[in-house]
Amino acid sequence: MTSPILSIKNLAVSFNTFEGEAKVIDHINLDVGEKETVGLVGETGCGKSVTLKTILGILPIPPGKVTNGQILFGDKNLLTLPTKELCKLRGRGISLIPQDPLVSLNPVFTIKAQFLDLAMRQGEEHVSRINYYRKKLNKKQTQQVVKKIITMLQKVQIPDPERVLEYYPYQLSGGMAQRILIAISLIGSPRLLLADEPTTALDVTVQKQIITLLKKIAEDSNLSMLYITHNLGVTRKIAKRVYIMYAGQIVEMGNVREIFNEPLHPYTSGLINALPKITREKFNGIDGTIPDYVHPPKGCRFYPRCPSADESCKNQRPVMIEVKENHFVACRLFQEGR
Amino acid sequence: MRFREYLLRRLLLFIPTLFCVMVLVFILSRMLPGDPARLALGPDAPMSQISALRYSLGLDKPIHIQFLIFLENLLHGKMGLSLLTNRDVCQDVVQFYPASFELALVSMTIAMAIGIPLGIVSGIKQNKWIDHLSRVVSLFGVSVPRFWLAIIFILVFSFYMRIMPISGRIGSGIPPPAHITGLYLIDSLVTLNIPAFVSSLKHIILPAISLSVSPLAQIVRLLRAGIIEHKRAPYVMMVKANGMPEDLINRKYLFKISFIPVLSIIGLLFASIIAMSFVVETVFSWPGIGRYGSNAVLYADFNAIVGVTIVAGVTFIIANFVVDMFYGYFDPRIRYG
Repeated sequence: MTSPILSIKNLAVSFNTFEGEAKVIDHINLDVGEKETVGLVGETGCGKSVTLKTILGILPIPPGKVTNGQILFGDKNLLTLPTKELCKLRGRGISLIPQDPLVSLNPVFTIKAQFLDLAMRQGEEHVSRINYYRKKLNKKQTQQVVKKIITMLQKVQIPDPERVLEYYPYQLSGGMAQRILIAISLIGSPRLLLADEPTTALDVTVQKQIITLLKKIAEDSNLSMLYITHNLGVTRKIAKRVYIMYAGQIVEMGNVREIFNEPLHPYTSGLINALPKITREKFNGIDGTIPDYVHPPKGCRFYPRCPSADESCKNQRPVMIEVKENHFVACRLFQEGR
Repeated sequence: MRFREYLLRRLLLFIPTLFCVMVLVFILSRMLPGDPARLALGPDAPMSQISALRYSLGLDKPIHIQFLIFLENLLHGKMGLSLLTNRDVCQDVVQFYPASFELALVSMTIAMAIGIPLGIVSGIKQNKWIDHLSRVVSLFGVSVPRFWLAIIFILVFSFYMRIMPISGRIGSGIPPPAHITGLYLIDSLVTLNIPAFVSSLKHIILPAISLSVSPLAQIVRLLRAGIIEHKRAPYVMMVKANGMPEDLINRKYLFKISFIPVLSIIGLLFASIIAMSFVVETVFSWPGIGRYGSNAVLYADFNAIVGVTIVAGVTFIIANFVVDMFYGYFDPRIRYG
């Protein structure tokens, strides 16, 4: 691994709910290296999107609250960065490809309106009305940005971009909308791309196209990418290294191929067994659901669902240890002294 | 669908709606209890006089014939004789309607000018002190009776402080401005009649404020709810995450989508101010259509009732048409769908 561009250290995030404090992210560590694509896999509700929102500083606070940790982007701690600096980074340093393309574009504006405003105003904290119209009425400048947008749309393989720009979001297909969103996330030439399940809402053939496109773009523009998904199979196609997340904790990290061939954590093996395969008729799911975040299990959070659990799992939280080179796992089964 | 087609279709819908309103109002007015002729002539009038008046008003004919005669008269700009003013109802409407229209215009302007910014701020700063304040104000606004507010205003500003006139549209010593639109504020401004403008402005402020409180509160509540609903929507998160400045998001992107439900009530509120302001008009002796209409009902002045109701209906239809026009702008899905 090269030196990390993004480094999450001991991050803990909780939410104030009616029942009490929900400790959703429980002290996670995560690194994304320069020009590296890293996968973050976990089932729905395990805290993947919360992690992303915390990185970008768009987590609604309250009810959210960061209780511990650091998020380093280069040498800057995003959690303590002044808003002005954070605004400069959004879109230009770190950008986001959202989850559900069809609801991620404002339905009452044309693509052009949203894209243009975003491209022209990226990096600023405040825009006064006068300043806004002055810049917008400057034909030459606007024309330049439109040209840049069109080039970007061609890069994500949108046919006839001039016409598509005049469309409203409801006139687009899911795949088109996701391509446009990718173009939006790339317009500020960021160094790190955060992809929040960008293919979940799409059908399988479009899914494949989008993944190929993302992979190509990341390689061409030397981008780093944190790719979030609940689908291990998708991760294999795009990422080299993968983090497995369960109930707000990282339980395993390693090379994708190695994790597929030799999963260490019982949860990871469960996930792999749950993947549909041509040679097998029945899937084997994992029984149970994600635990209550207000009163999570004291020890390993996976313990109530784990087939290999014993009494010590109940009270003792396992730490991440390197079992093989660059393959870490947090499980009693691999703890020292066993 | 093009915008023009959309408007044309809305405009065509106008005709059947208007016709239905007229049929309904006409039949209902003829079914009112009490004989208008007897009410007009008093309890001691002899039978022969009453039947003569019934004959001259056309009340002895069958109801569908009466309706056809009414339609024919309407095309000639006549709505029949008012038993109260002894003039044609059409003349009365032309005289009284602009006063109510002006009042509604001013109070809606106040309601929107205050309600829209307050609603936005309240929604964005949810659960901050300004939000709590605006919620208290809007709760007060929807629950306080308008006539009570009107009376309190008169007591405080006109009686104790003596800085505002008590009643009427314009000061008694000042001749009304030349009749152009019938709206004193506009007419006096166009003719540069400054004393008339100042006087009519002073007269309109208190009734306009008392009428604006409830629409204002409704606008605030709806807009606040819209902003809160949309401010965490994926399309807001997406632009925020990719670096669009927050104030631009709030005032352009969040506002437009949150304003749609507000738009649809603005038309209704406007029309309802005109049609239902009779209590406030009575308190301020405002010579408007509401006061005229309520008198007409009290004295069973059936031609006036029909006239006022139709005018109110047309006001509702036009206000909704204007709203539909803006709707097409605010929500493209409606225009094309």
